[in-house]
Amino acid sequence: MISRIMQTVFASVLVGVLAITCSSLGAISSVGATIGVATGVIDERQAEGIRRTGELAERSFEEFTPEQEYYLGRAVSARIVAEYDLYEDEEANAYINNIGMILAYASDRPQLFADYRFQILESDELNAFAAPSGLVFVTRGMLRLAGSEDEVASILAHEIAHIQHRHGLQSIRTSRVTAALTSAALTGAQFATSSEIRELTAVFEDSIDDVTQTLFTAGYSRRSETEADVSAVEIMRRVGYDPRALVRFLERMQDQWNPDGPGFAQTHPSPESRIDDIRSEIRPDDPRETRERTERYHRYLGGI
Amino acid sequence: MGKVIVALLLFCSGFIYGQSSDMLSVAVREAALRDRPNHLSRVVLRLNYADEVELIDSQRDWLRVRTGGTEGWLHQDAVSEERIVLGAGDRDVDRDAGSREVALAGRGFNQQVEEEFQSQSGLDFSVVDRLEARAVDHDELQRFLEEGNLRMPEGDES
Repeated sequence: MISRIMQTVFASVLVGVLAITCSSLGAISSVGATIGVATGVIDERQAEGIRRTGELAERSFEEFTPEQEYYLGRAVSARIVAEYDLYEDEEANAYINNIGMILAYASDRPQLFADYRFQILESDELNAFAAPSGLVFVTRGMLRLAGSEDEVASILAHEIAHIQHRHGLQSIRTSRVTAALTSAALTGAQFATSSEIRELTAVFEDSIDDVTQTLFTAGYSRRSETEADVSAVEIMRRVGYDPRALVRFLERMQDQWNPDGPGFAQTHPSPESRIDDIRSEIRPDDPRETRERTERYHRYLGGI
Repeated sequence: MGKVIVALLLFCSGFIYGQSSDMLSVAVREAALRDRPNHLSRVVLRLNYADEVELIDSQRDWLRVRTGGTEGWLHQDAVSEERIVLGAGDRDVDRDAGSREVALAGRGFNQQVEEEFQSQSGLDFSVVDRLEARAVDHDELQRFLEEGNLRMPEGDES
């Protein structure tokens, strides 16, 4: 009889503890929402949604779903193609898509919401861009400077690495990320009102501005560029491209380097300093460039 | 009483941690179910956004899954542990207590936002559509690899 009572008491205490555990989660959310309103980070309606869903206000770019990353990236791509003409040579574009797809599949982020694709831009500038949705752009000037397929691969691997590390999304200001994700948490798949969609579109546009400004003028951080170079070496190694080709290509860029010139010079650290950063990543047993691949480069891109 | 406690425990842990199932949702627009853990291996089935698959096994970044009697490999980035619900217009989708969290497809930055953005900015998305739609033939990629003495890392290597 006593043991029966003890059992009941124990069970009641356990249930009580569980109830407190569950409800304290709610309490934390509610505190977060109150603070958010008090500091003006979120409005009352958003706060209500947060209370309802139990989500806290602090948001990071890492929470963007692949689908949201895709739509951001599409708009970034639209900005890029508004700025540059396309180089429409089908064989040349098919060739860089072959190289690029192999590298993308061997990267740490082979699967995006939509697949990776690669496109040559009609420009003599030395430049390349990666949109977060998986579209990678490289200028004619850049491909002309490269002297082999492995060097082309080094350019594309570097851009794929930016996508892999989500450097584009990282360039979006935290306030916009928070606004976008909070709003996303509150609305369904369809917006109920036109003011809701206008609000989110404004955040969307500001976010695209952040990314394109980074791509066109500000550049990623030095740390992001090093990260992209180190990952490029790894991706190339995995499929059998010679990672030394990245060093060779950077040496060519150094020869052309004009710190006041357009394109890469504005958005990237000097090639010389990048070479210093990645030389130690190269291993003696890394794959070597082959004559067949370099011949293939001349066949498809020789006239570029 | 014991059963009640167990049920409460399950309910609470499900509520807190969200996961208690080996079902996964396809989190990308289209995912190819492959016969080996390799991006260039044969496609056994094409899956769409929000399709559900059952997890059987995993090999580093690759998951062995089953759907409707068909088994194959998916890259882990192609799926989400959250249950993805397509086309739900409701603001509140009921959550099964103790089961997976529900994620609405098309939340936040989506097609509707893009259309609004496009009409405001006048930017042309048709070129982007065309570039995204470029066909990439996997047999051709395989030939390209072999011809260039390159290789695609398989499953748990790399």
